[in-house]
Amino acid sequence: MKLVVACVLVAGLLLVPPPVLTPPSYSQGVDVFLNVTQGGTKKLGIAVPEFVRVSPQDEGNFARVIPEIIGNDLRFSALFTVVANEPPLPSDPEAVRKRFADLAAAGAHAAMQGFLAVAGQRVTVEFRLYDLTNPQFRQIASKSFWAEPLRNHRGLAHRISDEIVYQFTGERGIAETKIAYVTRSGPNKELSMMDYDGFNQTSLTNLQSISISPVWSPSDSTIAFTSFFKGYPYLFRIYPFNPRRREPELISAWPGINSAPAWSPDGKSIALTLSYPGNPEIYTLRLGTSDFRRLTNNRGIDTDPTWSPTGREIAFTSDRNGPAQVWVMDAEGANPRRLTTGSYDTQPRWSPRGDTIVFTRRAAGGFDLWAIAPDGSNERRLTNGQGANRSAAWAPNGRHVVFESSRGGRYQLYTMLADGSEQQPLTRNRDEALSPTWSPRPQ
Amino acid sequence: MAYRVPRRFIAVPNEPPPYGLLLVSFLGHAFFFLMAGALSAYVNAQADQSKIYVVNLVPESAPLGSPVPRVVETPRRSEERTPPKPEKLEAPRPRETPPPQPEKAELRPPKPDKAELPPLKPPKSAEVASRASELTLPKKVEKETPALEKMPLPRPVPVAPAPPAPSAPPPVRVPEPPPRAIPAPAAPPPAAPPAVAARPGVDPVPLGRPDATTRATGSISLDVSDFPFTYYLRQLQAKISERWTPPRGAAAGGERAVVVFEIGRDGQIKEPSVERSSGNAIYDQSALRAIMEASPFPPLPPEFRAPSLRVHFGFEFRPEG
Repeated sequence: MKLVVACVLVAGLLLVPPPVLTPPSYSQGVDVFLNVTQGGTKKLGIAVPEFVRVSPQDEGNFARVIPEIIGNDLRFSALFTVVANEPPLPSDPEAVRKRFADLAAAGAHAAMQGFLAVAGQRVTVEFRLYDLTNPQFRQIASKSFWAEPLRNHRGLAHRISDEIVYQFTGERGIAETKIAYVTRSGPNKELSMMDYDGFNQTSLTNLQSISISPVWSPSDSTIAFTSFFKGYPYLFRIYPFNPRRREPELISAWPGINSAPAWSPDGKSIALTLSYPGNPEIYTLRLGTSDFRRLTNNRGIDTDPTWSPTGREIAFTSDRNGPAQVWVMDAEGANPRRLTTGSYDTQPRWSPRGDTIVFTRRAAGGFDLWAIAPDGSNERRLTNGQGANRSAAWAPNGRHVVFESSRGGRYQLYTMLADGSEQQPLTRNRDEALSPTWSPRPQ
Repeated sequence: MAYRVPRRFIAVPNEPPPYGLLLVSFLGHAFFFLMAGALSAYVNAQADQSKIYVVNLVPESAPLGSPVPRVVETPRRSEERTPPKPEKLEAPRPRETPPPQPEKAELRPPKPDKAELPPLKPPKSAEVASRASELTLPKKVEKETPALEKMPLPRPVPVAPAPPAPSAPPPVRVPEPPPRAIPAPAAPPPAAPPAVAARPGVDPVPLGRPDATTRATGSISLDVSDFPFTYYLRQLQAKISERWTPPRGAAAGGERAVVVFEIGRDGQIKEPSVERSSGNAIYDQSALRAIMEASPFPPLPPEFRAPSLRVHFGFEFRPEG
């Protein structure tokens, strides 16, 4: 009898689900009901007035300069229309309300208020974002950042810009990214680096040689490139932010060419082109090992690999059918299939969003950038014949593209949105700027 | 040779039931489940507390135009490009932090912790004055976007569930005259979600703008008293609409699918699900994919205290012409 009681009790305990197993309930959340809108996305109007100075010192006029940089960043993002060059917001709450009401009537959806303090070499900015689409002018966010030394104020402005983009989209902006590229000075080609907006250009190599095709790793710390400075086209990498590792590190030194590096999305492998088997073929190399794997094997040239963001596929250029065209294969080399049908399509670059491959097409004697979906649909032209347009590189947000163009005479770098709109010059250097690569967002 | 059954496989007959062992087993199980219950209660309590911490994280609703900035976080920005991580900025306070005073009204901003926030300037009288205005500010929170209030809702909007923080009292809810007072037009079946279809060609609405007209009402419909952050909904709508394309050839027009999903505080979503199918699986999939591709969404506004926001998003396809 006792046994039965015990069993019933145990069974009863088993039947009561322990509350620890119940999934966390979000039932207390608030419901909203929305519908899809048609007619495309409208940009968000944001007012970025001058900052309020809360310290007497401001020789750099940062209260004016930093909002200008932020305004340029937000404009470049193509997500905002910016109302800038406004006087600082008043300190009286009622006056602020009135200003907000005016700005809202003029079309602004949000406003930023900034307070700037400079102490010694440190510049501190506290900013607040307000929602102007609601008459309560609710605060969206409030953050404070500082930078040292003072000349780093552009970095501070970019940091704030990215935070604003994050607050409105959920994804960090790209204002803190860098762009590395090739500078042609005389007979040499050296690597350089600059902020994504073209400022703070610095030299990365001084090898007195020819270095080409830099490609930034997904981890932000290193750049792979091909250089002839040891006499042969070997593959190297450098660490642009580590002053103690200025010497290029050797990655691959097979006989023949070692070129066209492409980082896998996890940053652990490199796809590259080796010509030692007789003609250029694509290999992958597991970094830190000597594990080279051959992916292509035919009598044509296979080069320019680029990984899909999933790491499962690689697009590349091949002339196995005659003309150079863009092909796609699995990351292990199986299942190659032709993607484009042009007579000379090279330099495929897979978007970080995965939905587009940009490539360079030569047609009617000129080079232009084109785009195609990875399934071969939606082929479209992005640049339209102004000079040669080549060597595209994606921004980490998958919305911007940087490329080299000779439309202004010398080769310089230009940017555009992924649909080809908003093309604008990025560099205006004396030397030619070529072959850009966009850094990931800083970790 | 005959096979001999090993001795250990032979049942011993007629032994009395091992009451002692059964008792031990029962006690052991009971102990285990009791501990599990206690553990789950503890975990739930922790979860509840974490919600409270989220409340704590709310930056004080700064008075508009206050000239004294609060230096809340000072993330490092060094030459080596080590920008602060967003997570770090919003790291919850240590566990020991007491939950907010229950008598604090939810919409009232918590008082700034002066000890932890070194001001750039010592406090002065102007700040006191602005603090006073800070206290008056939340009173105006009761009324929501007038444009939305004006809209002729197809039927009364369901009253949203109670706000989340268990230890916090419900938000200060001032009697809201407009939406429900307006005579509703012919009501659709009650099962239908109260979203109103967007008309193709109608521009996205300048939500909540003082001059917004009732034409704005086509695309948005919500219980405005519980989520008054119109900028957020605008961004949400823009992001999803940008990512959605009706399946070519697979949609005849007139389809309508409603997808429900939850947005966490950091803007990440949980798995969306089809709340009301269009009857066309491909169409439903395109709606789900649009949500997934559009995520993550903006972080929930700090002034909004709930741990998540549930969104019912309607995808309606009406071919042009």
